Parts: sequence; C-alpha cells; structure tokens
Amino acid sequence: MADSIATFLIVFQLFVLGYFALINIIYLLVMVYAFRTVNSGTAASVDVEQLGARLGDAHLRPLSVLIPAFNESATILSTTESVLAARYPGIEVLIIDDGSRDDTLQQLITHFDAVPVDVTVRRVLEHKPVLGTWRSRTHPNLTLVSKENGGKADALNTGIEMARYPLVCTIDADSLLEPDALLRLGQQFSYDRKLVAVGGTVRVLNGCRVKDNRIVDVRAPRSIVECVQAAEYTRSFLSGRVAWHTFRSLLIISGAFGIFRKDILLAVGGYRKTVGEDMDLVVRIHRHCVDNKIPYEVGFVPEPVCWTQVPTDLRSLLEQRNRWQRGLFDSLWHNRVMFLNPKYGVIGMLGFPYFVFVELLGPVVEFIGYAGFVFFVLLGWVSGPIAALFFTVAVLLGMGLNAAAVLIDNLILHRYPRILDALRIALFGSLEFLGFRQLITVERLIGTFQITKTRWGQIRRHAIRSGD
Amino acid sequence: MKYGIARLIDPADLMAALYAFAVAMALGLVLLFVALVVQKLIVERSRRLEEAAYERLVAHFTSDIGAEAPQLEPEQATERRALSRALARFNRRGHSGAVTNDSAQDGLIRYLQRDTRHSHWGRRTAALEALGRLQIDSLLPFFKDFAAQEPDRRVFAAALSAAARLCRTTEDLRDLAALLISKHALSRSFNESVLFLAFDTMCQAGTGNDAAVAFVNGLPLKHELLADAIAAASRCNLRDTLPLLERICADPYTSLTLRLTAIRAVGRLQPDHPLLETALRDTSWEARAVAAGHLQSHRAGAIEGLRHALRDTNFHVRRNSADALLRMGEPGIAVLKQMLESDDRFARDASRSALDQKEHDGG
Repeated sequence: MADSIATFLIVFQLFVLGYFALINIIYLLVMVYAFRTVNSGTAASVDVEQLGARLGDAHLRPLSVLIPAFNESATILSTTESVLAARYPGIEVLIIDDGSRDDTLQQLITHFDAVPVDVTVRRVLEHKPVLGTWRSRTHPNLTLVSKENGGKADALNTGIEMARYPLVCTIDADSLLEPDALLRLGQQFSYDRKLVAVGGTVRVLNGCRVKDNRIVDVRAPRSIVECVQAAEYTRSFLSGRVAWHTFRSLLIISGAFGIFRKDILLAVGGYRKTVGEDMDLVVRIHRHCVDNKIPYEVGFVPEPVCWTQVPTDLRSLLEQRNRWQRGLFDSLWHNRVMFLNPKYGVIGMLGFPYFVFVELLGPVVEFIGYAGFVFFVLLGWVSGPIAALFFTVAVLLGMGLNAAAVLIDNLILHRYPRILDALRIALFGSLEFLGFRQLITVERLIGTFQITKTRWGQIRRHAIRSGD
Repeated sequence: MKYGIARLIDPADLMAALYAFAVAMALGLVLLFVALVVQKLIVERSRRLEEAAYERLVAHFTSDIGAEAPQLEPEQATERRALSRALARFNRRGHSGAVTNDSAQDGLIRYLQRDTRHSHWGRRTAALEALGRLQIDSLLPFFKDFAAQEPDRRVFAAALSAAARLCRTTEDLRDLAALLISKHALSRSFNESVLFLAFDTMCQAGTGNDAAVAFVNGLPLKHELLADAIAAASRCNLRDTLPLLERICADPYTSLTLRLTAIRAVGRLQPDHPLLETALRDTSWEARAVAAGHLQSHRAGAIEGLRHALRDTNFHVRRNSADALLRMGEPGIAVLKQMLESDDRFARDASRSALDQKEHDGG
C-alpha cells in the first residue's frame, strides 16, 4: 500500500512539475520570440501623419464595419462615433441591434437622425428575421438594423449579408477605435493577396481619459481587477498572438476587433452559434482553406488598437472567463478533426494541440496541482515548506512573465506615457498570481464541465464619458 | 517515511534548490521593475529630442520668409525620424525634400541608406520612406536595385512606392511594372496604387502624361498588370487611354475582370460614353451593374437602356440603374415614377426604393 502511494505521488508530482516547467518554458519562448518580432517592425509603426502620407494614394478596398449590439445603451453612441471618425476611404457602418430590451435602438435613431429605409436582405446565412432598417441623415454611411434576438453570431451573420463591401470589420459595442486603426489593419490586405483575415490588438479602456469619443490620455485602470486584466491583455496580445501568428498558427482573432474578407466569411457559412464565435470562425477559416486547397494567410498586427471595456467586478470577470472556456471547448470540439492531423500542417500539429493541452486542459491540470498539493500537505505526505516554496516559485515566475510583458510593451510601443501607470500595471497586474489566477482557474474548470450551457452571462457596462 | 519526489531527491537539497530558485526569481522581478523605470526615462529622453528636432523642421517648413534650412545632425536617429515625420506632413502640401544644404543632404542620404540595410524590417521601411520623400531623382536606380533584392514584401512595397515617385519616362514605368510582377504576394490594389502614384507624379510634373499613356497603351492585352494600369490611368484622368478601353471591351476574348475594369475606367473618364449603354446589354450581370453604376447621360438610348435594366434579373443591376436614373434628375425621375406602375414587381420595388431614398435625403 505504502509503495503504491509512493509511486502514485512520484508520478503525480513529476507530472505536475513537468507540466509546470513545460508551459512556463513555452511562455518564455513565446515572449522572447514575440519581442524580437514586434521590435523588428517597430520603426515602421509610424504616427498618423506618416501613415496618412504612406496610404494617402493607396487604393484600399472599401470596408463594412459591423457592430452587434444587445442592451448596449451605455456605450453604443460612443462606439459608433469613434468608428465614424476613423480614417478610412470607403467605409460603411452597420449596427445590428439584436432585439435589445433597453433603448439602444431608439438612442441611435434619435442621435443620428435615422429614417426607415427599405433594404433587401439576401438570405444566404442562417439568422433571425430582420424587423427594420434605418439610415442616418447626418451620416449616410451609417445603417441601423433591428432584428429578433438570436445572439451575437446571429447578429453578425445578418450584418455580413447586408454588408456591401468586400472587407468586413467586426467591433464590439463597448469599444473605442483609434482613428488610424482601420487604416493600419486594412492596408495589410494590399500587401498580401493571400490574406483572408487579420486581427489587431485590444487594450483596456478602463481608466483612460476620453474626449469626444477618443482616447486623449492613456492611464492605468484604478482597481486591481482591471489592472490584472490590463496586464493580461498586454501579455496575451503582445506575446501570444504575435508569436502564434509568426508560426502561422493563429487560431483566434478577437471579436472586439478584426477584419475579414467577406467572400471567405460567406464560404465558411458565417458565424456559428456558439459562445466563442470569434475563435470558432478563425478555426473554421483555417479548416476551410486547407480542405479546399486555398492559399491563405491569417494575420495579426500589434499596433492598430481598439480599446475595450473590461469587467470592473470580480463576478463579471468570472462570468466572462467561464464563457471563454466554454467557447474554447466548443470550438475545439467542433473542429476536432484538425487535432494532430498532419493534413492541417503546423496548425494541426502545433497550434491546435497547444490550445487543447495548454489553454483547454490547463485549468484542469492546474486545479489538480493545487488541490493535490494541499491534500497531500494535509495528509503529511508532502512537506509543507517544500509545497510553500514551490508555490512561491510558481507565483514569482508568473509575476516575472507579467512584468516582462509590460516592460516589452513600454520598450517598444510605450502606450502608457507615465511611469507610474506602467509600474501600476506591472505591479498590480502581477498580483494576478496571488489569488485571481486561482479563482479564474476554478471558474474555467467549472466552465469546462458546463459545455452545454449557451448563456452569455451579465457583464456590467459603464458609459464612456468624456474625462473618464 | 518519505513520499513522492522526496524519495528521489533529498528533501534538504530540494528545499535548497527551490529556495535558490525563489530568490533568483525575486531578484529577477526586482531587476525587471528597475529596468522598466530606466527604459521609461531613456524612451522619454529620446522622444523629447525627436520632438525638438521635429519642431525645428516644422518651423522651417511653415516659415513664410524662407527661413534658412535647419542644421540637421543626420548621425542621430532621432533627427532622422523627425525629418521623416516632417516630410510626411509637408510633402503632401507640395514641399520638396530640400531641407538641408548639399553637404548635409549627402550625409543624410548616407545614413538613411545605411538604415536600409538594417536587420529590422521596420527600420528598413522607415529609411526607404524617408529617402523617397527627399525626392532626389538620382536615387531611382538605388530604389530599383533595392526592390529587386528585398525579400520582405513590406519593405519591397516601401521601395516600390519610393521608386514610383521618381518615375519620369515610359522606360521607368516598364521597370516598375517588371518589379511589381516579380512579387506575386502583393495585391492588385497595391499594384494599382503604385502605378497611380507614378502616373500622378508624372502628370503633376507636366512632362509625363504622354509617357504614362504610351506605357498603358503599350501593354499587351494578356499582361497581368493591364487591369491595374488602366484603373490607375482612369483615376489620373488619362483620357487618351479611351481607344484602348474600347478595344478591350470589343474583344470577345478578354477576361471578365479586365472587361469590368475597362468599363469602370470608361465610366470614370467619360460617363456619357456610348460604350456604357452597350455594356448595359452585356451577358455578365457584373458588367451590366458596373455600367449602370457609372452611366450619366441624357441620351434617349441611355434612358431607355436604364429603363430596361430596371427589369433585370439581377438585384444589383436594378438597384444601380434606379440610382443612375435618380442621379440624372428630372428625366430619370419621370422614368422611375412611370415604372411604379410597371407589371414587373422587381422594377416597381427598385423604383420605389430609389424614390424613397430621394425623399429621405430631402431631394
């Protein structure tokens, strides 16, 4: 009996240590690689003046911006204004009200002086019926669409069908676009004819000062919950996505900010109704292009930025992470044919397995690790000081990765002009590993076993006010 | 009794190893925070220097009394970046790149050319853009050679854009075209924009109109850049390309893409051209839709063609025809009102939609 326990413990501890070492080595390598990649292009990330000069004569393909909205009355006007103010030649904006129960639609109609218009919608994609369409008299390129409630994917499918232009950009209704963000992202389609989709960076809006729906002063958020997310977004976009893009294995373009070729969206049948519709779409694009032998690229550009509101309270944050985990599971399960399938090349053999073993199963292994150590310490099978030291090392390593991400962000892109703001994000963001991460791990574990649930959960939105 | 890894490694050794690791991590973390503060100070200093240089250059460009060219220190990267920014801003307002005296300019070119060999693609791109904005004709061979050897398509695109601004002759355009088709990764819209840049620069200089037309007319019908070239020529209003466009539309063997581009180009150059009326009866709905979208003529044939197109089987043709009739003013609106009584439901819908739009727009 004692021998069995001993053998089990050895296997268990070696497994946890091995997993811990492996994912931290991957994180470190990804960060170093991403640093080299972003740093290599940083001098080309010029200011708006230079970008305008570079693209002033370019013949950029026109773009339809889709903003799905459900009960977004607090933020929808600011988001729409910021998109309408974005610099891009040839743009139309479609706001798809997904049967909001608040006054989202009425606010839009009043604010933009919209009048009913008759628009024919071709039913190519699956979605709930359209109830009415309006066009703004102050902004003729702004169309409002009201439809029966069917979820975000359903609203986006409606928008794709109604979009007139060959490129389609999706933006969340609680975000602010930088004026040159569409230009920076849209120009990628000029440089690469194989490009079918491209994503930009999403940063945390909370705490920033806003004037006339534009960020005028980038500041760190006030609360620890928000700072944790600011550091997490920086780490995720500036290292994870950059590196996976370079390995041609980018499996996710944030629903908050991405541009797609409309023909490819129609070819894959639009968005699938799932809570992780953004990742699911990108995975299916990869699958479709490989299955049909279409030469393609899925891109990521770190500099064009969309600022988005993140949850301000722990409850909303946990709800969001639960949903993300369910979406991740559903997307991977739906496209499981790609898993370790050489037909899909580096995605099938590297990107997809990474998402399965690290992103999907990470919370399970992490939870077993935490619970196992606590249990064995209580039974006296593992020495308390050793467990405590191991936990300390794990926390310090996580804090180091976070601080390094913020350091890289400041070194290359220096978005936070004040030193105190950068320090605040690095320091408070590092506290993620002292409690937040463990809570999120538990919530994600719960989400893993709630795959059949399709609810989005409630996230409290705050109006984006000037001077915020 | 020892359990787990403690059976493999002495607990004391394990403790010592973990302790050492934890201390190293903590020290590393402190160092990261110190590095964050230090690099922030360095970045801010560099930014202040660049801003100061930029302000000097802006003052020079905006001076009404022909202020003396500012003293640049081209060996400083901050000064070169400031110059690039200033040129980006003022080139567009017609200023040339002459911001320094000749000897200083030589130094500047030398440093910028050195930057074009940097391992970072961003540095190479920025340097090429700055060099291009100096608008020095003698740099054209440099840009061509550079583009021919550059593997990164983003840097390649910057080199071509710089070369396009310096094209003066048909031969220069041919070289540019050869470079463009050597990199298939670039999109058609990029090809068109580079050719437009070259044509526009030549036309504005007043010497290149004929050369640009000769280049477009000299491209064989099967040339892969022909569609991009005629699109760019039409945006530059090169009306002497019309015979070529007529020939393309008349040739039954041209591809649909080329024919569509030609119809669109005719629409830009001469919206009342009879060719657009003919295209309203094309076998391709896309050609009919493009023709309807561009046609602006009060001729009886055009009005009749658009009236007929309102009954087209394709939605886009009907919609564009209704819009074209609306743009025409009174004669077109009369046709739309008549079609409200049509026996064709689609024609009625298209006409009503256009008239509603007019009402909403307050027309």
